Amino acid sequence: MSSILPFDDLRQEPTEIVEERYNTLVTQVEALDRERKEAIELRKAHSSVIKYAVNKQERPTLAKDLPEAPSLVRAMELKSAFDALLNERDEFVSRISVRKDRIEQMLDHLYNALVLEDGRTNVTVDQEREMFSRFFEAQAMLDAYRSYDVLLHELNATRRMLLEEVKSINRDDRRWSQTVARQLTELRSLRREAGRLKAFLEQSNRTGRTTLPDLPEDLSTRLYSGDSISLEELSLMLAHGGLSALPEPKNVAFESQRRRTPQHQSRRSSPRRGRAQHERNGSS
Amino acid sequence: MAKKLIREISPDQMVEAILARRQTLATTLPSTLAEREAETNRAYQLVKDAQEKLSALSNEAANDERQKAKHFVEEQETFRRRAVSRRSKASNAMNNNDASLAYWSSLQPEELDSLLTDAERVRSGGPSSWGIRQDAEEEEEEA
Repeated sequence: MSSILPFDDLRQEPTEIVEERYNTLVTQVEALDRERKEAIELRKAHSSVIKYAVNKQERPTLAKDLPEAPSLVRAMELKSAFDALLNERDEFVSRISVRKDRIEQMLDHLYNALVLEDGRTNVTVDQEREMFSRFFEAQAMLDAYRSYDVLLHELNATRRMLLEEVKSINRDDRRWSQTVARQLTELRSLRREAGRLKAFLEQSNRTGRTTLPDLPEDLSTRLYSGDSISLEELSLMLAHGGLSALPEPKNVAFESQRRRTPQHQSRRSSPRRGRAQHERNGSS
Repeated sequence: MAKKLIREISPDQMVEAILARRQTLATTLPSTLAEREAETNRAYQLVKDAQEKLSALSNEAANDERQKAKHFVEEQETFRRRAVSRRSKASNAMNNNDASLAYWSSLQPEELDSLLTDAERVRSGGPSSWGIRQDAEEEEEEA
């Protein structure tokens, strides 16, 4: 029975110690709660940055007071760089508008028509001028493809780095989830203990546990022997926990424990008369 | 020519190459034209002979024989048309060659620059002619 009582262990300790333990626990709970909130914010930030990196979110939603996270900063930088390169690539494709292999074919064709002897002989000057102009434009386009190849190489490298960073953030994200779950379990346990201590302290304050004077030594003896006790003594006894809190007195003959010897009386079958009646009346 | 050389050829080199080709053609085209002239004259003569042969046939001549003569005239006429076309082509080629030689041999730097306007636009980061055309088409579709 005593093992399930919530305050058994605390009753044996001075209130000051319990109070100190309570204050320490409250500080621990507050610190852990702060850590957990930070961890939750960080986890949200991880998730948001991953979505941003894989184009599921336009921009990451990050708390203003987010603790420093180098991997997130790096991922966002890589994503910005990747987007910039992607835009550059799209602009190039829209600007040149002809595939590289097609330009090479065009260059060969124009060169043959303009220069080779077995080319067409009935080309007019205007056609020649047009082909000359196209040839050098195609040549310039092909030169532009050199920088495009560098751009593509850079784009692919950035994409690979970004994916690696996303993988790393994903791993961190899982770690943070585990941390948050562990902190929650720990927090619950600490809060439960703090609540128990608080309840105990509140109860102690209500009952004035700290200022309760000791019970008079003879109170138990007097009470069990049937003597009278004062109202103050009764109140004190109740504050100490009632009758169950009193130690059992020794060598006290209890009225209640006295055994009554059964009196066997013969049944009267006739009424009392005379002296017997008189004695009975006189005694009552 | 190797692809690398084609990629690196300069406008001046290209003008020289065009002129070289045109000058080569200038040596061969007159003889080609003379051949075509002779061929055309022969074709005219053949048509004339065939038509005379057909007219010489009497009304009593067999129908089959008249058909054969008519068919021969048509064949000669086809040959004549082809010869005239070939002569005309050679003549045009000769004229074009002369005009081309005249143009490229007297090309002024400003004229060359105007021919390289599109290339310069691409080199300075602008859109290609194909890109401009594509944008225009897209705008037209949107409108």
